[in-house]
Amino acid sequence: MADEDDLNLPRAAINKLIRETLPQVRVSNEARELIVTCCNEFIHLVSSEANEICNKNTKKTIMPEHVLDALESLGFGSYVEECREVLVECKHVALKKRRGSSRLENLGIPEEELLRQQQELFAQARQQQLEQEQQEWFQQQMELQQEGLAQESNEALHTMEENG
Amino acid sequence: MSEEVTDSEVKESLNENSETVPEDTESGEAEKTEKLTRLPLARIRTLIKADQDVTIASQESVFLIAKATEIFVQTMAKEIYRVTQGQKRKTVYKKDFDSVVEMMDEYAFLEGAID
Repeated sequence: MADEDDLNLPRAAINKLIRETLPQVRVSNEARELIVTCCNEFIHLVSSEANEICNKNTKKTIMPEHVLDALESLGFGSYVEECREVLVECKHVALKKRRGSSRLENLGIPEEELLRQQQELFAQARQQQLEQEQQEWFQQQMELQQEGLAQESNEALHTMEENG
Repeated sequence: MSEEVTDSEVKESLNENSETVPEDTESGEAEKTEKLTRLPLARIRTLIKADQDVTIASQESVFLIAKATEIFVQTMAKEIYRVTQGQKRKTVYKKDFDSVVEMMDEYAFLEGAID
């Protein structure tokens, strides 16, 4: 089981963030590693503080408000504005996803109609199967008849030969 | 001797060097979620839970912490670069980092981590 100290945010993601913030700037590897380490510390710091605030409010689950308050009390109040905006977007996306999954239920056709259509399809399928079975039975009868005729004529031939 | 580098000067030099970043070609909902945060939520959730005292954090809280961390990286990167520029250098080194941590109270929590 990996030590929690070994658990870091992916280097590539951090590098990308750095590159986007400081395009075309050279950053030593040592500095990059440090930033990754600091992210860990930051996450622990904020979640600890948020947890404390959460407990003070006698809640068991850390909620967004606790995180925002934690940022404020830790001196990162300047982050709160942007965080709030993104939180709204996040809720928006979550809502969209939920609406998206219910799109199947909302083809514009009421459930009763859908049920009726389904029953119709079943009936059609049953009918088709019945017809197919009938056809097969008919075919079999034809074949048997032909065999029967063939056999009769064979026997007739034998009798004739015996008699004649 | 480090000079005072103003915010606008930093922005200017960044703008001169900036290129257009190509957009992700993934389409649909995935693109939207990706634009919301660049850091993996699962990993962040694991880091949060590593703290024994933490019981549960809501999905949105994890997301918020991810976003805050992103802002943290961006803010810190800019501030460190300001120090680098003040010293007329083009490469950011660890010592620039140390300077920033010393200078700013909010970063005091990092003092133990950077050695």
